[in-house]
Amino acid sequence: MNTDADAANDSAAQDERLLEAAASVAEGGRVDWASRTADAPELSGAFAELQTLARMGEAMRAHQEPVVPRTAAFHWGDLEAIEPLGQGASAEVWRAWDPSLEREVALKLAATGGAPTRSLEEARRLAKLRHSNVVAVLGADVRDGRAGIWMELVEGRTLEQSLVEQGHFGAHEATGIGLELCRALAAVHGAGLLHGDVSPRNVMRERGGRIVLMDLGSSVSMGDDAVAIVTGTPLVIAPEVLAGAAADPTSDLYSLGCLLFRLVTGRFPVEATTIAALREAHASRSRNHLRLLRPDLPGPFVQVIEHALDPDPKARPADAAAFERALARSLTPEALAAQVAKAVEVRRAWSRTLRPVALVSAAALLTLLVTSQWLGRGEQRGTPLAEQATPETTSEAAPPPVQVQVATPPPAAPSLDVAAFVRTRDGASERVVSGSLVRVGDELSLDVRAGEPLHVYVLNEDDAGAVFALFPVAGTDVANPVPAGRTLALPGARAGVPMHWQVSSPARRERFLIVAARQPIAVLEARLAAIPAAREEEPLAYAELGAPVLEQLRGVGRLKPAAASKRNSGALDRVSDALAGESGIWIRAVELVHEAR
Amino acid sequence: MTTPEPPASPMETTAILLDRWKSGDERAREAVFQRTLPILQRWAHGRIPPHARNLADTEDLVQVTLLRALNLLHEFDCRREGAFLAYLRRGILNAVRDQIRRAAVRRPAGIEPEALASAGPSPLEQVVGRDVMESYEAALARLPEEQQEAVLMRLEFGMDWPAIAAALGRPSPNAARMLVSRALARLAEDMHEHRR
Repeated sequence: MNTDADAANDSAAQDERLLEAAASVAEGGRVDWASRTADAPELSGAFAELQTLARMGEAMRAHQEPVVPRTAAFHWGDLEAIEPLGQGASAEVWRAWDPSLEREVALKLAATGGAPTRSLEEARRLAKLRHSNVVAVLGADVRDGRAGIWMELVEGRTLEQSLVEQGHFGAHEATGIGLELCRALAAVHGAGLLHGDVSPRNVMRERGGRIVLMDLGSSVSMGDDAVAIVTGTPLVIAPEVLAGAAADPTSDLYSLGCLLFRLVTGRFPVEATTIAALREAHASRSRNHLRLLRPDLPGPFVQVIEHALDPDPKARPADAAAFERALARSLTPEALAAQVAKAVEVRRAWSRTLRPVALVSAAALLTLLVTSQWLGRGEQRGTPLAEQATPETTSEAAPPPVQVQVATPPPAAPSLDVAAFVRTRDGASERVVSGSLVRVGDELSLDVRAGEPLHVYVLNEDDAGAVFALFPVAGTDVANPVPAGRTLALPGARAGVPMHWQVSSPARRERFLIVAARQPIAVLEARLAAIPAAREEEPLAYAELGAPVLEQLRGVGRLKPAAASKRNSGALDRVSDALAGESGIWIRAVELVHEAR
Repeated sequence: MTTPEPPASPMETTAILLDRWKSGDERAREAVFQRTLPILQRWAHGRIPPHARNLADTEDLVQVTLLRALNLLHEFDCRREGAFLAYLRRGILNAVRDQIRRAAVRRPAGIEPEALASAGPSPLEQVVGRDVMESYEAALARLPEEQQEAVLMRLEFGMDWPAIAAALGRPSPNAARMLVSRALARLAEDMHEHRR
């Protein structure tokens, strides 16, 4: 009898423990599963299931956020302005809700009476850019007589705020920030723009660590008449610009040098309280020196910053890629590996958080490569980093994607007369078809010939499900719509130098989707614009890291080469399938097979 | 120009509104629509695979399903709001499967059919995996109806305790909390039993 009673008591106690745990899950609170399982090992199986249910509840709650208050301060078109974030002389910025994107955005409205065309032109310039380190412009319009642009809402702190609150940065941390900003500037410059105000106030460190270049309001197109107008923060403006010369990419690099100088010292290289005094200080070469302010900093880091701050623009790094290379070289291999691993983690977290649809998801298996012509011009051996960085960035002449409305498509579907990949290996080129072999190091281009101007998109996916947008891409001489009547090699040429994609990572197969349409494809454009392409891998670092460091990285998430497995996330199929229902869209899938290793 | 209709009283449960709609009260139909749509739309973000969201805009899918359900209400014996939500949830998941099937028929040349046979993982599946989701759905179906609804409303729809109490006709939020807790405990035990 006692045994039965004990058993009944035990059972009741178990039920009670299970119910307690279930109640905690129901509340959505934290549960110490290890302790509970230690107290009641016989319930470990049920606890494990409850833990799964708790994770499901968390995931559902995460996807149901943000719950946006419906008390809009006012409406601007269909956007609901929720709260002011900042105000300047020419514009005000609001946190707003975009019901069509179902996300919060930052809405920048021109001051009442401001010239609408200026904002729209600015937005169109900015919408050329898509890069994870540059704030994404989502759209622009004039509504209710007021011009505005809306963009990705980045929540975090500016570098200036971090500096004030936490004190000086270390060289290692500053270098990591510098590397990301070099990539951002490579994208900005690659799109034919200048930032104009690269200062700690204009760079955000988002929660999670992503570095985002903000406020491209000072940006101007290269060659624009407005370039000589000083609009940025004076203490970071290059001396020649301050003296009235036209800005160019090296003036942005000077500003980046000032930013890094400030992060590690809390000071600016040249300081003054008036513009006149600042000009005078530049003219007399009166300035602060990093070595004196921070003698503890590593020599290579100091040299890189001082190089960027050279008063002679020609003596600075030639471009953002050169600056990035120099910064990378200033780190030890171990420190560089750590930077890359950290960036991978940050981007992965960012990707999970921000991207509802994993269209452009992961590792770039193909990186842009300039041909040997470039190397033959006496450039340093290795692939220029800016050139490799650009797959993350795309550029096109079209207006901001959200403004693009797909017109009622003509009844006959468009088609490309020619769409053939060309593989270049050991200097020899040949066209390849589905089933052809490729291997790491091969260069690829895509011959296309259209009978009419068409918008062309090229996506790539490997057997691990990593997808990358290969075309359109920033800075080449071929942009959408691709012109008719002649055979063009995508992704086109840069400064007259043909560009190729390079197979840079081993996999089992490479799948490609080639899509063409008479009009911009809204579903692709909107997604690519609204969700900056994540780059969880660091293709640009590969060339610099060398084998020893690369080996260290192979254990880091997606940097690991894809295993030969049947796993295939089918992201490309999902894109294809989504488009297949649309009339007026031409789709071709091509699969190249990696040679057996 | 129409005169705005007075809103339904918040004290009126969805079940009462549904009854009124069955009796021909158009305002009750609109009230149910307005009350239910945001719940379903929020839910859909976690449960509909991105692939399906490519095929048909989430909002459209949810709205269409809700409108269809309201039009077919005479075929449905709605005793509780929870039952109505569970019915709509099933309807939306079925609609997603239909969309995917239709898309598979239209697949372009060169795209492997096996890739289309799957809806792709929903955000929820991405977190726990497809096997777990299948185990969860199967165990959920084995729960008594009221417990199924309790789990759905709390775990999937993220409703608060007063709302769940109202939807399930429970006297208090605490009573709803207890019902959900018991349902989760039973669900976990069942999932564990069937996975052994």
